[in-house]
Amino acid sequence: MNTAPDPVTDGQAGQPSATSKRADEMELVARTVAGDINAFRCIYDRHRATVYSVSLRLLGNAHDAEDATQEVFLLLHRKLGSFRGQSALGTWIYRLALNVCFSILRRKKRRPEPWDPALMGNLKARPEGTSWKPLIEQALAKLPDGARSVFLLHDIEGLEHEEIGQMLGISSGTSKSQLFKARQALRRHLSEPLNLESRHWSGSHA
Amino acid sequence: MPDTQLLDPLPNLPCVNLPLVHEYVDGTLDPATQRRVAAHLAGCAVCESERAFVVELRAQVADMPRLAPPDHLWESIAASLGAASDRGDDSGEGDPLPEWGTGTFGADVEPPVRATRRAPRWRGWIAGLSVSAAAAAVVVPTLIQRAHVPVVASRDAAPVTQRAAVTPPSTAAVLSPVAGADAHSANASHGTRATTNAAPAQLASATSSDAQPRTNPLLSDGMVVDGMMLTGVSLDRSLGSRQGQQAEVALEQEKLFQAEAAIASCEAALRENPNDPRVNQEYKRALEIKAHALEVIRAAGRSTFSSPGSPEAYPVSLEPAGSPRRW
Repeated sequence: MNTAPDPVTDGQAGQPSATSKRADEMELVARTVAGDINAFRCIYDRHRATVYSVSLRLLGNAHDAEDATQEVFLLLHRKLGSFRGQSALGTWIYRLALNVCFSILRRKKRRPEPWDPALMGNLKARPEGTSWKPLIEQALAKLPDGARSVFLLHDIEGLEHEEIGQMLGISSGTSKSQLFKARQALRRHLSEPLNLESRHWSGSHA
Repeated sequence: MPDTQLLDPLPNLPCVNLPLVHEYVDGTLDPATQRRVAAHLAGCAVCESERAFVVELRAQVADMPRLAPPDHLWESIAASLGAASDRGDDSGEGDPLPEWGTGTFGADVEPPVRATRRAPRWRGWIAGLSVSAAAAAVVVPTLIQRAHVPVVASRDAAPVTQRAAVTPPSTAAVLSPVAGADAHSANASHGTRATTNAAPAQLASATSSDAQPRTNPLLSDGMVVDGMMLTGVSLDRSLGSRQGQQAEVALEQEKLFQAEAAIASCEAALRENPNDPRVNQEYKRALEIKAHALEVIRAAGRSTFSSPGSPEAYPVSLEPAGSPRRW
């Protein structure tokens, strides 16, 4: 059903084809289920940055993100036996990570902390042009959970609305509308610090 | 395909075509609509400004850094899985495992007196289950009670009524002709020639009330711009209170996850100290919660969640569901 290539690998060099990658994935899963911890380590290494980055941006601080990441992989280890390869393992892990993060968010019932030094430090280390990235990271934390999730998955992680809808249990139309809402909110948040005129920004800042 | 017309931006409102501009940038429109939006952009400064912003925003976030978790995290995971042989006395610096393995369950932790005691900072995740057997005894029945009542009620009546109450701009409401449209039809006809039967009414309602959904004449074939798009009903609100059955299934999913986590932590603790009565009791509780959650989810979610033919599979449908649900 889902034939799209796995969108959530952590970008190793020399990506194999989707088919061989899937086969490789299934072998790792099988070995993990059989008790091979090294195979699980491979899975972890492939997906840990995705899980951690998504958790960090959804939860807003490194401590929660570490907890979430650990939970995700512990749950994953328990659940790999029921993985049937209908979708990419990465998609499966995504769903797991989102569930864990949403659960944490619901439990905490509060906005994520507005900023995390881990993200900021990383961003500052990058060459600066007219980068909006630090401001975007800050503004992301101000978005409602739903809009932030969809923006994160679509614009940052590069997933399609259809996939996002399946992961979040919403329609792709709702995913689109949430993306629209998120971008509009980001524009409001970015307008002042970037000196964008909110309604008639001309794009000359690019 | 009926001809479509542009809308003049309404006074004091952003152009109603803005959502389409976002889709235009994303390339998710059908070719005909894509062309219409392109033509519209040439004459609408608001939309052109929006287009430029979205293009730049997408460029900016295209290579947002992806961060790896700290190295010690794997050690924690491996140790929790019982695969680390060098765990020693659990006194390693900064390793979450000591808390996981002994901090919560160890004899040095005094039993909390009240169920409201804050869990250790690290595992609020399973706090309700792992703080202590005493706490669990209070928390667990509460969870199960919450699980029982609403599910049963919501399966029959709740979805319709809750949808109506929580989500005013439902698509169904848009698709049916809106009563009282003629009162606003003069207003509605300004700047547009309606292309579907329902369009004048929808436009009228959009003009007369922000709470009403609108159609967008740029969408030629009677499509409806999701009302949520224009009225800003937030997903997070919906996530927090999914309608009816979905809300309960979501609740059960969460409990299931918590129970799973508690089971994992209990098993880890029991490997070290198989006879700890408190851990054993928590373990049992967690298993009960898990079993109950599975039962409720299976009963309530069979029509909603796809777990085809495999009752042993994870019932919360970690694999993509067959068809997305509308809220």
